[in-house]
Amino acid sequence: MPIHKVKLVVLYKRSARDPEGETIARELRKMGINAVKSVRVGKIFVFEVEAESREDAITIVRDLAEKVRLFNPIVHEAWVNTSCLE
Amino acid sequence: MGEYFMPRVAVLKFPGTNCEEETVYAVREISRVEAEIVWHEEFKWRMWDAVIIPGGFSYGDYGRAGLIASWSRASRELVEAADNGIPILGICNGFQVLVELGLLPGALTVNIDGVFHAKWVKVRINNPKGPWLVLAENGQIVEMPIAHGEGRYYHPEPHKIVVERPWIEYIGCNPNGSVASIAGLGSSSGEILGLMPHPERAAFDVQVPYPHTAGGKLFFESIGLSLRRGW
Repeated sequence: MPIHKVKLVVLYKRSARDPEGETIARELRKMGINAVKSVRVGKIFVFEVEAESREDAITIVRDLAEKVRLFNPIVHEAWVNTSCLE
Repeated sequence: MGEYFMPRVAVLKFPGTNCEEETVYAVREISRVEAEIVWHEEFKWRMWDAVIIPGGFSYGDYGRAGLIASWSRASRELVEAADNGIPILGICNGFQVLVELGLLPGALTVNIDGVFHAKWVKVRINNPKGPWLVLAENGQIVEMPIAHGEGRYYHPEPHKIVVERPWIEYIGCNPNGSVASIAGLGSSSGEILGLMPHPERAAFDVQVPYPHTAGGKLFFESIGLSLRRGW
């Protein structure tokens, strides 16, 4: 079976505060970069998954992320895709 | 007269746990019951009358504080222990483990100012119940130190979850931006309790710098009394 690279992105929800992102946005504006209206900082997990298809690989990662709580749905939003990976 | 068994408290150790020695010492000296450090792989809840998950940085806080410990076999034992009414206390990283495990609701996330805070705080004990707070009075204010980077409690409906539960509230200053100033939270029976401040660092007068007081004694005196009464 082929190996697929799958990306899981975890960010704070807009309803939850994100001190790291807020600080970066504030400091960027202090430097005069006013085009930046907000920044959110999160985590990316890159998995190499053996699966028949990309869709199967995405399903595997989505399911495991929920099962072992790689994100906490109370404060995080997360999504899975295979884009932006070499 | 029946045979008397000394109650036994397990103090769980994961890789990265670092507050286990003083926690065991406080249980032995103040609660006056047996206590042992138990490596997570060896933990079996049926052997113990109560469990403490002490502070530290289990698994390096990788992912999120407490996350990887919540995947462990010991955590499945903890869930069973909770189902069977065994008293469980989570201190700091232990509180984070209990939340990640779903034994307590909500989330503990990065402090609102992005800073690791190590300082003494005043907290109020609200609606005390359960074995860890039998000696507490409602509204009692105690002092303990905090030392954490991920202690900001969040729940979308904080005022609903504290109705039935014992909970601990920062007084004066809210050091990490917790919603409703929540410093600690129990299960509705109070058998499970988690808190960010460190009672084991405020258990003896010799640990306490002027002008603070040893607010952590209360928790250890309470569990000692509860276990001897046969909680």
